[in-house]
Amino acid sequence: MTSASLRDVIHGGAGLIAAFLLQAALQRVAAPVLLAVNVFAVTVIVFAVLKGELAGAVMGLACGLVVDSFSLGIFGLAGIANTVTGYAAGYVSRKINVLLPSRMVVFIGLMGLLDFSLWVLLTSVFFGQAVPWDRGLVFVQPLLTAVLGTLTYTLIRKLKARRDG
Amino acid sequence: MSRFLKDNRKILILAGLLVGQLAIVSLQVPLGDQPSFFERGVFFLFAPLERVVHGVFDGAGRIWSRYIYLRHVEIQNQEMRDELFHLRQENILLRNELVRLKDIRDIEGVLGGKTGPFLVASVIGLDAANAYKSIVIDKGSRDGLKANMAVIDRNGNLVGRVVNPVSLRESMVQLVTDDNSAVNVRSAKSGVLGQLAGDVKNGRCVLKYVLASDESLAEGEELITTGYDKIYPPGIKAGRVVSIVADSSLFQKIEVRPYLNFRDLSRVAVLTRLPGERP
Repeated sequence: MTSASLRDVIHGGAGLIAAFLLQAALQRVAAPVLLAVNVFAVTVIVFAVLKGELAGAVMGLACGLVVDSFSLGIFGLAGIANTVTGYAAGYVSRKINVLLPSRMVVFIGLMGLLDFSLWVLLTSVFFGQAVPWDRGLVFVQPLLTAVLGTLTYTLIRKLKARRDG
Repeated sequence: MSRFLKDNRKILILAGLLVGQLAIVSLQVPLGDQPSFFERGVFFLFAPLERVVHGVFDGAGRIWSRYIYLRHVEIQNQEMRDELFHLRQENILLRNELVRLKDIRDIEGVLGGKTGPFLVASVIGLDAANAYKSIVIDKGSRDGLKANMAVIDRNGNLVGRVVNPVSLRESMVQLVTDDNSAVNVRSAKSGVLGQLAGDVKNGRCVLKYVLASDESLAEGEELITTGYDKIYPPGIKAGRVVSIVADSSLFQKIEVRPYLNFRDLSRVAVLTRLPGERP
């Protein structure tokens, strides 16, 4: 394993643990609106934009399986949705310029929507399970994913720029 | 061939990851509700992290309340709250039994053994994908917890049951609002029997298998467990009927608001005696 890919693995592991801790913290402070925030989708998309489509897909797989392990739903569904989203986010961000914050918000929002739509499609259409709409609160998810994702990405870029001098 | 593999390496890896996950989904089929080894492994690995976050928040709260804000009063208050919690649980369970059994001899015969021991647990996590399906509590097999033990809230209302995975120090609890949950209940007033199932779409429940011809059930009636399912002890309050719709189908469509309150679910009690288990 090269030092670059080892660094990616460490960054991915740290991102996954950070997402899990943030999710657990949100459960404590904002449990009623938990359905509106998908911390793992934010992590997958931002990681994919930073590291590329393959890293995004692997991150999606890891995040999805963690989500599914703490859910009574079908194990593997969130993993499939997150893997496709991670790959798509990494691929598209290499083809078009999404670095401007205004473009980044739209891009991450669309990727959040893709992740949400895939999950709903797999859950309700293919596996016949009920989706928790929670009086429409769940539809806010892509919007919050866009805002949180853009903020996270901007923060990481700034930290990286400061570190590189 | 090698050129094809090289040109399409990334898409082939993506396909491999997706096929792998489909295999994981397929592996679940023969297991039914039982979590796979892989799922258990991830749960065992990450559940302690949830406990850490819970501990950090609890610790921060304790520092404020104990050492900055009325230290001794808070300690005493906590002890009394714990005692009150235990007494309230016992009281509610005993009262439920008294309501259920009208004959005083029955009460004398059953009181000692029915309420059974219970264990107070803190809720350290909610279902990561669907908050109405399950919660994670901070007690596990080391504390004597097993699958199918009933769980009630601080007011003695039905919360759900312990399900696998149960790790050493953490367990998952299936909520009554999960659509795969099934609790045998009866109306406290009219005695109508039915099966209470969850409705994860809006965090409520539905009462199933009440015939359209049965008109004795009315809106506002309270539902309590019967114990016929051999999981939930009889007499636990589960919810209240909020709407009844009778159409051309064989059964009525009955919506139930569960007593379980998501905003007040920090602590729960696990009834540690399984149905049919001797004291």
